[in-house]
Amino acid sequence: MTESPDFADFVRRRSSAMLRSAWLLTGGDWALAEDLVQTALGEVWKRWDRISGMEAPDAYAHKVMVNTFLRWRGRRWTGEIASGRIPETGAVAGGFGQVDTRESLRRALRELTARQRAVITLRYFEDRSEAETAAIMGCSVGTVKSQSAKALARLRHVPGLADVLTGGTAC
Amino acid sequence: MLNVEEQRLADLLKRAVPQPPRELSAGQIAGRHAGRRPGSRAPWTRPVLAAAAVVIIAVTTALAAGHWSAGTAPAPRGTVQPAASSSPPSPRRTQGSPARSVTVPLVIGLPTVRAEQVLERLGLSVKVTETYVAVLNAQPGIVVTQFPVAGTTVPSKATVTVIVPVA
Repeated sequence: MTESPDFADFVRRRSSAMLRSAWLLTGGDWALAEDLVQTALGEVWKRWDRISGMEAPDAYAHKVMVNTFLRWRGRRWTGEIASGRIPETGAVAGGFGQVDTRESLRRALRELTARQRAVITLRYFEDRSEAETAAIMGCSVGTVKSQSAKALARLRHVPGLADVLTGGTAC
Repeated sequence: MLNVEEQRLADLLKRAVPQPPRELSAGQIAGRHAGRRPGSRAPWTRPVLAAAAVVIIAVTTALAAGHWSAGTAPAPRGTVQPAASSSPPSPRRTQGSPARSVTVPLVIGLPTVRAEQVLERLGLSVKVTETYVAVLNAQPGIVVTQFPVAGTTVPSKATVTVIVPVA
């Protein structure tokens, strides 16, 4: 089993970006994120002969990762907490500064469904167009639009993020 | 392209998503898939699963056959009567020996409580054995196997064992 030097190079170049996307997908869980990226890269490695010749192996790897993640739903803990109300936080009225952005984001992500997290990650973190996002997720552009609208509506009500999104006190 | 709110979210994400604590290496990934050649599936999984299924079927059949031969009479094959889940079968006493022997109904696929009702209405005792062994397509609380098998004629008051997987 000789590993292609190309693949080693690919992993070195891409793993950091993939891990950061995976962090968002998994709701801020590094262990799960690493597991996800390793699984996705494992799939890529198995088909490396074909993938290395592609125009955009990076995009393909992200596609594999997002689809692996969406398949995980139900099979693994995806960090979703079913809750009718948004948990209390230490946020004081009008003051976002005290709440760590990252913690707010992590909490906010867990308010979203897996598909909503996937849309958010692809659209706003990886800066992909609606069409690209739809192609990666295997759904229609309309679904991408509605999912991102729903996700935004939910995030708007998460303490700590609300201010940032509505432009109150962007830190 | 993005509206103001979307742009703010995009900025926030790029700012807030942390750098990974450590990088991955190709060796780690290849190591995880050791033994698999690129382009091939794990070659051993299917035979192993098939073998496991064969073992489960063989054991179940052997157990059932054991009970069958230990039964009082050969099973009348034509009279296997599945118990409908809505209405229990009326007690069917075997002709010629009234009130002495009954034909075991099929209770596989019924919830445990229903299976008990159906069998007890026929005067049979029920022994519920819970199993933690994974059974293909089985749902917890639903009978997957019964001894003696349906159609067997047994003395009334005989005990029927039902196997029920638990979660």
